[in-house]
Amino acid sequence: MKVIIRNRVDGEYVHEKADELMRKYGSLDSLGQKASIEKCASPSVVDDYELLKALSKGAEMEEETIFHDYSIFSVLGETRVEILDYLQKNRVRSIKELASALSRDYKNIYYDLTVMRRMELISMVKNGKERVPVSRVKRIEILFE
Amino acid sequence: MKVLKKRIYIHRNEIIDSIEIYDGSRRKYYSYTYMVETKRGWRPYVRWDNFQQQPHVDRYDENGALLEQMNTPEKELDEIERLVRIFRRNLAAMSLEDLA
Repeated sequence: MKVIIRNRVDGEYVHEKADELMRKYGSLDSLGQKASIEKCASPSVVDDYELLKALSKGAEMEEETIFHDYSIFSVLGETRVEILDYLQKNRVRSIKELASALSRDYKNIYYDLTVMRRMELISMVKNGKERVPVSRVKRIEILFE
Repeated sequence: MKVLKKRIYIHRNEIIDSIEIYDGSRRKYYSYTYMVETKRGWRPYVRWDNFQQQPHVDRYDENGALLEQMNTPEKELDEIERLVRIFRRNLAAMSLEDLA
């Protein structure tokens, strides 16, 4: 059995990812220097460099998370699928708005979002003073092999 | 060009993070990092990549600092996933020759 979660990776996401890396490192050149110097000590810098280099050349991107067991279902129960479903169809302006739309307690929704963020099922996007949940999932496939 | 990012769960708190960058059908860059979740977040145990066209394997200590490194032939994700599934955390105690 295999569960594949395919993430939403559109042009806007790719652009945001490239911007995020530029903000973090300043420029592709400075990141390249950092990668050459720290390549052994800091492997994530090397990945960031190769990623930013590719994105700056207009690369497309695909992201997926793969499970070979049932463990995802201990994270992705009915109420969290409901959150994902709602976020697929609606843009919310705050966690409070999401809690209200789903008639859920704020504290419980906040906890669910924390868990889902850790699993990279959602991201929290800054919107003024608020952090707004956005679904990252495009498709979930269950393959019985 | 295309970037393929995959996160493969080996166990609830063990993953392989993979990045592959293709130029047409040619794979230009790869990195496959076996990581274990600790209280301080995901920490790398072993990593295979071909940065600067030099395929190699790196092993890290419990603080995520590089312990040792060895050149390897080019690696494929399937091969790494098979190896990781068999040895998991024992990868940290294996000789680099066995990981290369």
